[in-house]
Amino acid sequence: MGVGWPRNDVSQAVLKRKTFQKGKVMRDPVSKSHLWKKPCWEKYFRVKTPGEAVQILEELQGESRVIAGGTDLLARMRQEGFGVKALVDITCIPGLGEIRSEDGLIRLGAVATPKDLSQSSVLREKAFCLAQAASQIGTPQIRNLGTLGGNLCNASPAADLAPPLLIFEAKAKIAGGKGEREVPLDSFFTGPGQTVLNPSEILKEIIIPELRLDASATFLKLGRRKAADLALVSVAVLLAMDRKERTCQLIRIGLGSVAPTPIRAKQAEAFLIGRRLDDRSIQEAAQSAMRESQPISDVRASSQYRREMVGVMVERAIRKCLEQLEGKDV
Amino acid sequence: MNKFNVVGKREPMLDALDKATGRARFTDDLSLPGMLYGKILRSPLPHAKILYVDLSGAEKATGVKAAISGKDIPKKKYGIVPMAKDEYALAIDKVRYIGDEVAAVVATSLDAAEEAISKIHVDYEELPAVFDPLEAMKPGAPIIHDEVPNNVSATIRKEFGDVEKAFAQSDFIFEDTFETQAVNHCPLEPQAALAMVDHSGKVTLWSSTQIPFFLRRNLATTLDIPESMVRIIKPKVGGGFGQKIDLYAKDFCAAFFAMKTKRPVKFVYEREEVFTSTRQRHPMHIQLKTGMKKDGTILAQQFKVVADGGAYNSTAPLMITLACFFIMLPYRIENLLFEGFHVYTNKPVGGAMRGHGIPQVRFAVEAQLDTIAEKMGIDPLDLRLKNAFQAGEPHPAKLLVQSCGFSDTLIKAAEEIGWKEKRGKLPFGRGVGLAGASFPSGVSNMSHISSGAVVKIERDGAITLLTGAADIGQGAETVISQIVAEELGVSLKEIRITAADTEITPLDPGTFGSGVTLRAGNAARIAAQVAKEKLFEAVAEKMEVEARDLEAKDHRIFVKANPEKGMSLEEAIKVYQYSDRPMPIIGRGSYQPPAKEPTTLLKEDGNFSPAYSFMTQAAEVEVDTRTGKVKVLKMVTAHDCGRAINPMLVEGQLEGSVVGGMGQALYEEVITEKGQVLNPSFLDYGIPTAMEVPPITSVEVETNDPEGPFGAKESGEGTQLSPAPAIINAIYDAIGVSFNSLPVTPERVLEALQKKDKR
Repeated sequence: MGVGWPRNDVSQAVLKRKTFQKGKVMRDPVSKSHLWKKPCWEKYFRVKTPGEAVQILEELQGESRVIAGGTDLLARMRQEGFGVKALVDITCIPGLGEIRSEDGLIRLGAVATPKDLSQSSVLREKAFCLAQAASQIGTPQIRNLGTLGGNLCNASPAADLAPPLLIFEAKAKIAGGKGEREVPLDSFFTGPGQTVLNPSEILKEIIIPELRLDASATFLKLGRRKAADLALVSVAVLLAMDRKERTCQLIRIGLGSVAPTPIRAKQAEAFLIGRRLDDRSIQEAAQSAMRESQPISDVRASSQYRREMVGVMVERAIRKCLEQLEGKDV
Repeated sequence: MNKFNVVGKREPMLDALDKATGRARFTDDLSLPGMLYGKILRSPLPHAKILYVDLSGAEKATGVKAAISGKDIPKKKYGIVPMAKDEYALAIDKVRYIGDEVAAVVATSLDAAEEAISKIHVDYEELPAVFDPLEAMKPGAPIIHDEVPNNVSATIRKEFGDVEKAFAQSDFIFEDTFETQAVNHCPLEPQAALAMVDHSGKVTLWSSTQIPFFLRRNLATTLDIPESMVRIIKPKVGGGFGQKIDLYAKDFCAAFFAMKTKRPVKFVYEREEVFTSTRQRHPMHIQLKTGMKKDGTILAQQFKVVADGGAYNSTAPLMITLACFFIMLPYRIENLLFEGFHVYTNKPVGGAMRGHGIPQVRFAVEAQLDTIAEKMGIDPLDLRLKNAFQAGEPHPAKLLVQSCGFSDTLIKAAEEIGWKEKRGKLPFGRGVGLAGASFPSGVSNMSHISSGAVVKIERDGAITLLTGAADIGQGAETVISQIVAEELGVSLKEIRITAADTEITPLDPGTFGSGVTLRAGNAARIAAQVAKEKLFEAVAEKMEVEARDLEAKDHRIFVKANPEKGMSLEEAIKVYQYSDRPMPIIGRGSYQPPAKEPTTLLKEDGNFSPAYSFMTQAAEVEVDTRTGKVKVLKMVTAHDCGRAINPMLVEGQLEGSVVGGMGQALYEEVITEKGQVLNPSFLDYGIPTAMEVPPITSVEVETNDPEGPFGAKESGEGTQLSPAPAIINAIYDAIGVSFNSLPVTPERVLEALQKKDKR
C-alpha cells in the first residue's frame, strides 16, 4: 500500500539483509517469471467496491494486505522477505482516485496519485501547498504509481503529504465491516508504520476544507538533495493574520520526519496565536517547534541537525506565508 | 576553421537512439535457452576463518542445479595488477570483509537460487578485525593477508631534488592533514555476466566489463584453462568509471557453473552488492608539507599518503603510483618527496575510479594552495599561474610534456567564472574558487597496452571497422568511427563497427587510464591508412598519377592539386577489383604508445604517458548559512584535450566528471560501521541528481598533440580531479572556512560556522 519509502524509524542498513543471512523465503506461487521474484502472494483480488475489499480483508483475518501503487509494499515485501495470502487491489474502485471540491470541502480519493494531486486544478487553486508537497515526493515513477492513501497508511514519519494535510485538519474517511467512520488525521497515526486502521479497514477518502481566502499556506521540504530523497525535515504552515495589527489569527504548523509520526507543533501554535508577527515572535515559535520535535539520528542526518532545522524551516515557512499574505489583495 | 569533415563534428553517439528508447541490449537483457540463474552467498562477518561450508541444504532445494564454495574452485588467485594478485573468486580460507564471496548456487529461477543460498550453512571462527588503515599499520594489528604481515600491500617512495635543503631555504612552510572518503562509482548498470559453454568446451562470457581482453586473461587463469578457451563479448555497458576493470565473482561463477552444468548461466548483482562487494574510491589520509618562497614559488612538497585499500589489492600498486606521479604536474615542483602506502582493512575493496588515486591528493594540494595564498597575501590564481608547468620544460622526474595548455586553462576558467570581479568581493555566503590538474592519456611502459584495428573497405563503399576498444557509454565507438571516416573521406554513417569481442576484434587493453581515443583511435587510423593506400595504388595506376598525390574526401578519390581529376569511391573500388588485386581491401593497424624514456614506473624516472592533458575547474557557490547547504551556482571546466574529435561527447565527459566531483565534494560517502556498509542504496547514498547540477560552461583549450590521432588527448576522467577542490575553495571564499576532509555536508558546514562564531 503506498508511496514507496522505507520507514524512517528503521535505518535501511539495520534491516537484516537476506543476501547475507539465512532468512525465511516464501515461494512465489503466482508468478513463474524470473523477473518477478518475491514479493509473493497466493491470491490477487482486484475489487470493484470498498465493501468487497472489506469483505475479503475480514475473511482473511489479517493475512492479506491492501495494495494500491505498491511502491512501498512490494519493496518492503521483497526487502523483508515476507509473503501474504492475498493482496487486495483497490485502484479499480470507481471514483476512489477522484479529487473534487464541493460545499467548501475538498475530497481526495485514497488512490489519487501524487501526480494527480500535484496537477489537480482544485488543489492548485484551493490548497496549493498540498500540490507542492505531492510534486516533491520521490521520483516521477513513484509519483505516477504511488497513492495518497499509501503515503498515509504506510505511516512513515517522513510522509510528505502528512504535514500539509495536518495543517488543513484533514479527516480520514475509513470503510470497515461496521460501516464508515471519520478520524481526524491528527489521531490517524499511532506510531512509525502504525495507524488506527484495523486489518479489515481501508482508507477511502481524505477530506479537507478549502484554504480560507484570508489565509496562506506553504510546504517546505529539506532533503539532502532536491529530488528523489526523503525529507530530513518537512514543514507545512497555515497562517492568517489581522492585517491591521499584524497579529496572528490562525496558525497551524505540521512537521514531518522529526517524530515517530507526523505531528502538529501545538505549543508553537499556541504561543503565536494572538501575538504580533515580528522577528522575535516568529523565532520564538520556531524555537518552540524545535522543542516539540523528537527526531532520530540515522545515516542521513543527526537528530541534533534535524532538530535545529525544524527551527530554521518553521521560521522560513512562517515568513513565506507572511510574504504571501502581504502579496494578497483581500 | 575545421579543415576536417567528420572529426571535430558534434555527432550524436551512434547508439544514442537505441539507449534512449530502451532497445540497447545490456548483459542482463540477454538470455539463452535453458539458462540458469546464479546467486552468491556473502560473508556477514568482517574477518573470519571459514571452518566449514555445508552446501547440502542448497543442493537439495527445488530447482537448484549446482552449488559450490571456495573448496570447489581452482586455487588460482586473481587481481587486475599481476604483481598484486591476492583474491580468490570465492573465499577459500577466510573472509576478509562483509560481503566477501563464500559460496554460490545456480538454479532454474532466481527465486530458487535466492532460496537456496539461504539454506547454505557456514561455520565461521570470527577473527579480530581492523577498520582504520592507520591502526592496521601498527604492530600487533590483525593480519588480513598472511603474506603481508604489516597490512601494507603496496608502497611508493619517490624523491627528486633535495627536499630537506629546499625546506631549509623556504621562507614559509605549511603543514596540513587531509582526509577523503570512500565513494562508489554508481554505474547505472550493475555488474552482470552470462556464460555459455560450446561443444568444444570453450567458454563464451558476455560481461559488463571495461576490459574484455584482460578479463579473458584473468578468467582463464582463475578457471585454470587456456586463454584461447575463453571468449569475452562486451554487450552495451551502462557505465563503469573504473569499477568494471576487475574480474568479479559473477564472471568466474557464471563461467564455472556453465562448465559444470553445461547450461548457460547468468549472474547479476543487486545494487546493494555493487555498494558492498565491488570496488570504491580509496579513502586517503594525506599529510602535506609545502615550502614556499616569498615570491610565491613552490620550492618543495612532501607527501605522506595512506590509502585505505579495504580487504584486497585490486589496483593497489598502480593507484598509489598514479597518486604520486600526478602530483608532479601541473605545477613546477623542483623538490619533492612522496611516500605512499596502500593498507589492507576489513572493509569494502578500493579500486580504480575516475581519476584513480589522484583526486584525493589533488584535493589536498589545491585546498592547501588556497590557504597558502590567503596567508601569504597572494591571489590564488596568480599563485597557480606563477607555478604552472609549461610545454617543453624539462621535468625533474623526466616526464615528457610535449603540449601543455595549463596556464591557458587557468586564465580562461578564471575569466569565465568572473574571478576578478568576484573573488573575495562577494557577500558573505557566496564565493568562487578554482583548482587545476593534469592527467595522462593512457599509460606508457606497462604490459599489454597495444591496440589493434582492422578496416575493411566493402564492395559497396561501406567501411567495416573492427576494434577491441570497449565502449562503456563514453562514446568510444563513435569517436573511433569518426576517425576512420575522416581518414577514408566517407561520412560517419558508412562505418560499420564491431567492437570488443575477444574472438573477432583485435587486441585492445580496454577502457582505463584515459587511453582509448589515443590508443585505439591511432590503431584504427593506421588501419584506415593502410586500406586507403592499397586503394590509392590501384587508382594511381589507372589515372597514371602518383599514389602519394591522391586524397580521399567526400566519398571521392582525387588528385590533391587538381580535385576535378578523380573518381567516386565506388568507382575506385571497381578499379581496384578489376586490377587483379587481392580482395578484400583490408588494412590492419596496431599502436603502442612510444616509450621514449623507458621507466619501470615504480623505481626509476622516465616518461609516464604518451601525452598529458591539463585542466582547471572553477566554481561559484552559495552557502545557506542557516541550513549549511551548499548550492553550486556555476561550474566552469577548462580542459586541454588536444583536438576534440567530437566536441559534444567531450562536453558530456566534462560535465559528467564535474557532477561526479560535486558528489565527492558535497554529497557522497560510503558510510561503514565496523565494516558494515550503512547506506548501500541510491536513496541512502545520495548521488547528486540532475536537479543539483548547476550550469556548466566547458571551455575547450585546444592544443594539437603530435602523438594523438588528429591531435586528440584524454578528456573527461582528468576533469574529475579538481571540481571537488574548486568547490571547497569556493566555500572557503564564501564563508572563510577551509575544509580538510570530504564530503562537506550541511551538518559540517553548520558546525564550522558555529565554531567560527564562537571565536
